[in-house]
Amino acid sequence: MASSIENNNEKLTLKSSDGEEFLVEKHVALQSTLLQNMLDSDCSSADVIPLPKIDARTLALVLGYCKKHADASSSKQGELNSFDSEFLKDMDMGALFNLVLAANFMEIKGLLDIAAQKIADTIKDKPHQEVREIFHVENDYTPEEEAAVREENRWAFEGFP
Amino acid sequence: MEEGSQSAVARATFHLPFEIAIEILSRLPVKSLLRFKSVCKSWYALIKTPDFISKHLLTQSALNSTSLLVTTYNYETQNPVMSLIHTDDGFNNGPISLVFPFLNRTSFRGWDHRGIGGICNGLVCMSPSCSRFGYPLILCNPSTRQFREIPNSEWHWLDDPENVMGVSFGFGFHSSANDYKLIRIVLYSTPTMKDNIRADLYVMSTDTWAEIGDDKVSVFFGEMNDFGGFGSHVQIVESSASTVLKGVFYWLACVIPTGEAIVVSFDMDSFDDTDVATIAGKLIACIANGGSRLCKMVFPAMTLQNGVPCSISLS
Repeated sequence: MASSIENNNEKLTLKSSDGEEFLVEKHVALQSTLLQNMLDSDCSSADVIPLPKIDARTLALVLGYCKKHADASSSKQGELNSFDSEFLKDMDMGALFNLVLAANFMEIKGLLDIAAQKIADTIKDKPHQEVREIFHVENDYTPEEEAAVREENRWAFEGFP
Repeated sequence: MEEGSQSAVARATFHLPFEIAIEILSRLPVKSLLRFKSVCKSWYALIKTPDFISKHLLTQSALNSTSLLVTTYNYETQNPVMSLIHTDDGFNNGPISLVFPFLNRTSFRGWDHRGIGGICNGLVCMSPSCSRFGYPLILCNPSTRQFREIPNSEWHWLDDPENVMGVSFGFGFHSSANDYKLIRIVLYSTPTMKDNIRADLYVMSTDTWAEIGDDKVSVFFGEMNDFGGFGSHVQIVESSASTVLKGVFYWLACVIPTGEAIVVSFDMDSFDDTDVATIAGKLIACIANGGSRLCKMVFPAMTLQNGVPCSISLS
């Protein structure tokens, strides 16, 4: 039996890429602009909203973030800030990348901001060779080209390999 | 399999969409970005695009990551010494010395604070003297260590540089033109000993100067009954740095001979000088750019000696 969101006691179901379903309160889902637009345009009358790009582990994290921010939207900013830093603490690079991808897809600006900032803070003092590995970027410079680019801003490489 | 036909940009984003990479890179300090130009060709290309630079500026402004530019001078050579202090790491790293070759020129000896013509979005307009005429003008970016010398403009109407009595500058970002501009206002006397004023505008993207018509700068000087009666004129205070807000330059000026402090402005959009705000009363003021509003820090003349601002009003 198909039931609309409104009739479903203000809850909706999200389905991760690996098939796990999450029942979410509507006001929590509204943290995501993507879901908000879907609800507004009424194209979400299906029971389950599939999120084929987001795995269950990441989606659980995303919804944890959304719940905290939805419930605390009018409460103290300091409390949210400490939640945010605790939330990302000890998260590995793979999890952060998944989180930033999910935040981007679901259009959750606050989460995108903090996850992208966390990645930036982690890589800012790393040598560029290591950044290549972290981002899985192939070095397409010839050794001569790489040396020339480095020479453009030699001062920035002081203390780096 | 289609990888060979894809651009360098697309190839690098194989694992992470490029828009995500931009989100992350725009949150990095400039020094890291300059190193990460060495990661791959697409990052190199990205970091140099105007769109990325604008996004980086916007993101960094939101982060409140302030850097302080400290200028002092070498006692032996009398040349200026510049360093940068990043405040976002809690002053932990100390000042970073900036090595700009132009600072060692002989023309920069004896440099003082009046050698800063303006600062905007991390770009600094510098000169051996910004209150006198005919000195080289340099635009530099302390964060990237880049600099360029501004070309000389033609001052065919000026018979003798000795006749210049004062110069004032304004440097800022003109958002509707998406460009950085430098205005130079020159007060000079003609051979007939009549005081006159001229101004010209330097546009960074084209690296050229354009003269601003006489009629557009008349407010700065002239026989204006509005200010202090016949025979009086308006003079920009020499130590007043300009501030730019929404495409309008503002300077602190005073009316000669009454000494009344006023704010004069120049609108880059309309090339206009229509708006002249007067600070009420006989006050001495300095202007600071307080985010989106113009701050007037008002000092009654009495307290100026110890430099204590009596009130700060936002308008």
